[in-house]
Amino acid sequence: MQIAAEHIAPSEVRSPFLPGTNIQYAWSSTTLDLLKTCPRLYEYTVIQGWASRDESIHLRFGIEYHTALQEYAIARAKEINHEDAIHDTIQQLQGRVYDWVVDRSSRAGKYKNRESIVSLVVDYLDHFVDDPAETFILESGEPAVELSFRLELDWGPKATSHVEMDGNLMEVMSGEKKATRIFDQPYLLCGHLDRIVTYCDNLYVMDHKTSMSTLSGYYFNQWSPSNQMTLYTYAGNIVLHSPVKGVIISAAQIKLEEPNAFQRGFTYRTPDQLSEWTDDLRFWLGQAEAFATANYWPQNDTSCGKFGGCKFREVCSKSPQVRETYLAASFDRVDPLQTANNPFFDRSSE
Amino acid sequence: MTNILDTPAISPPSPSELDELISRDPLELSALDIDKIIAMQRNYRAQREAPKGGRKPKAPTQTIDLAAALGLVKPPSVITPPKAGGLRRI
Repeated sequence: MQIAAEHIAPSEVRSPFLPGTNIQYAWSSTTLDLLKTCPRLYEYTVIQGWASRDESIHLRFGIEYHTALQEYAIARAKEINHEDAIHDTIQQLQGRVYDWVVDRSSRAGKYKNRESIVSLVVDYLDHFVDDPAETFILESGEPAVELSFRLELDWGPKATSHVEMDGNLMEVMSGEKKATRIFDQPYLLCGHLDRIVTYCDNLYVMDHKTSMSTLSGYYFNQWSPSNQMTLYTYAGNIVLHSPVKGVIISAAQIKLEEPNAFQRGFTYRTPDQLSEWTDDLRFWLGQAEAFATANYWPQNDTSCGKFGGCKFREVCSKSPQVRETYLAASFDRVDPLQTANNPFFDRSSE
Repeated sequence: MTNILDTPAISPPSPSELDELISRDPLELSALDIDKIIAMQRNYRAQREAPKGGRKPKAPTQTIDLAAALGLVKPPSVITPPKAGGLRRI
């Protein structure tokens, strides 16, 4: 597979679908996760834009957390001391969240609100004041934090392909030995790497996670295998032009009565594992195009109970004729282009 | 999906002092106020990390010979040497 890394204009928001179709050509780990978990889940979330009412809380909390840690890392890379860096980080955070009001009677709002985000950031930064993982400095001299990537693959949806033969553009023909398949729109893989670090002389992607549940071995096991972490390792290798060993998951557990807890876990990927993932990707994206062409995304009814249960489980358990009513009653319909489910979505634009 | 089981039985907590400070208009906050937010959170954390109410020291452990206390003294067990031809652990 040939890859071209594209530098990104941050504020650009465009559709990840081929014009006039539901064929997605730009993919993120989030949308791939949804597709792999259940095509119907993908349809409801990415194509139709149904979102649970708590999702905006989780999204906002995640954005603020990532932004704060990014600002702190940039400050420390400029050799600003811990106390000054934390002061500036909290000042900027307070300026963004002071008027953020959530329903604290909901589970999401109880754990994720303006007070808990400030608390979590202060606790995290104090906890890792002498962080053994050092932020990698890019050739430009900038610290490698919040690196957006967009990788162009050398293949794309069949719908956009034709063959070139003897200098003429022709329809796709199977069995034509000298024909070259040309993709007018190749697939793109998009995402954000929270931080690149050096740890024990090796390069890793560091990914920040927040959780409301216990950070046990069970929690960390979910990242191996993991579509997201394999893509991040893959992207890290290409963006840095250097071997990246894997991902350090830097997890924070938000607690209400006890001190917030922090744990880090490693997940490694070999070159063969990365190669296997990209081979599989070709099939998955082919499936996605087939679903979109048929305008039908089947249920994977073996996934409904995983990870505490799919949010659409109750909808899918109803007869097809009444599902739309249940969706409208329990979910908000949002423009999928304006959410994190759009691979072109930029966190800073929220 | 609204589920009655998801509804908390208790009312949401009242805004804390820290939340009150965070909710202020940033233009009205001084650098000292930001330091106060950080100090307040560190103080909360220290309080949460400290054991609640202090732990009582454990009572010294004593081994009680219940049989002796009840006057049920058993005769010492007798170890008999293995007989010839018996199984031997090697």
